[in-house]
Amino acid sequence: MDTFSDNALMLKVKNGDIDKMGLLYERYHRQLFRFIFNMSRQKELSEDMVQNVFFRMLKYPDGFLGFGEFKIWMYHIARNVVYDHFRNVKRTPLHYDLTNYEERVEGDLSADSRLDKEQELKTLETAMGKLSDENRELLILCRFQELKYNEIAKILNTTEGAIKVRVHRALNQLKTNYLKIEK
Amino acid sequence: MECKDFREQFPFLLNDALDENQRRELEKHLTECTGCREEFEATGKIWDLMGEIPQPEPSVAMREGFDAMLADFKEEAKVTRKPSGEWMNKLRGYWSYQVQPRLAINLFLVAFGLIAGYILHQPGQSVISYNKQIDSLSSQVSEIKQVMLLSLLNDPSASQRIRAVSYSDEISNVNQKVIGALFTTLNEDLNVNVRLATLEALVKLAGEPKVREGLVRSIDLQESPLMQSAIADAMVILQEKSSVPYLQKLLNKKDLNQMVKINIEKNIQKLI
Repeated sequence: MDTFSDNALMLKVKNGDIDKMGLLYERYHRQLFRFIFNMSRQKELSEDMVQNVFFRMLKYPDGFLGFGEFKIWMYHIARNVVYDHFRNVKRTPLHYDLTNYEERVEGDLSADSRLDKEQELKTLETAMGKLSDENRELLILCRFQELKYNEIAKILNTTEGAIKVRVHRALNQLKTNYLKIEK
Repeated sequence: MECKDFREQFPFLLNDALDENQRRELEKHLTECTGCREEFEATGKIWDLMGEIPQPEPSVAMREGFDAMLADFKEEAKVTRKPSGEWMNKLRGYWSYQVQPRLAINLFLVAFGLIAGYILHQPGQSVISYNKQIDSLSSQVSEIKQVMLLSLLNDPSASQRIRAVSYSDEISNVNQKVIGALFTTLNEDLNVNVRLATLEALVKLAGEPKVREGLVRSIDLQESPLMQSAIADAMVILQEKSSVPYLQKLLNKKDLNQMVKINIEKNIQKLI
């Protein structure tokens, strides 16, 4: 086994070489933050939750058995953290920062098309917010996380075939939401 | 393939996750079918737009928080690991208070065996009577374990109760009293790990119809998602078809954990 593979590093952490978690953090904190941020849409809270994921991995390293992929295990923990939070907190509608779009839309577009793009992004973000947690999660996993479909299937404990159908449905739902708002 | 099948592949095409043949087939279909093409363009637009949603970067504070946490954990590891070397720790760990009663019991059993052996060792006795005596001895050991199991099950410490549950493996004839006690633990113990261990022990005893019946009835009583999932898995292992209505009832429960729900649905499929 490669000594710097995720699994090898995590096994070292498990055996007391705690420093190796730093490398895993380096590898995954950004991806994890992106996942959690898109689920919760709150920056500070997301940073806390990322911290919580790494805390749980350090505190309970025995949960990593070594024959599955580290990444999958990490996502399982991340999902637990996110859904625990959703359960314990009274849900408010997701917050989308709708100000400063001019700055956020990049490229040298003309004023008109910049305005259009701004409007489209606003509509899309609202449409994302109207999805169920499960559908939103699925789209986040396959659009923002650079994961393969078989990895997503493992993260969600289901089969690749089921994922295929569910992504299709989720994407359709998003499209329907989008068109409804646009009207 | 119908249009519906092709449309299911859109997310895969967009994510570049189709193999060469599938991709070519889908692209060919898109040139031929106007409906699908329009559908694909609309989907593609949303897909591209999703990629443009601005993504913030985590702050420096997150990194600092992580470094601090890592330092804490390292500190903790240093404290628990004494410099005198690991084998000393192991030795010390072995002599922890939890092991002492067990050690005493083991010593007692060894002494008991030696004395019994000395008394029984009389030349000229037939093999059959030896066997009888060994039988009666092992049944006595079994009884001792049983008494320990029943008393340890009421221990306030969860790890002691798990130990008690594990004794059920070592008892040759598990009687109704033990089974009853195990079920009380399964249904009422406050600690989920103890309940899980009990479930495992009871699954091993599932040769008895009473145990199977009790397990099925226990489905209703489990509130923790871990237990609900584990007991549903156990039903599949035991191929207990009579559990299906109970599992279905569980599915109707409000605030059932989503993962558990998926798992139970899968298990019901396997059982039917």
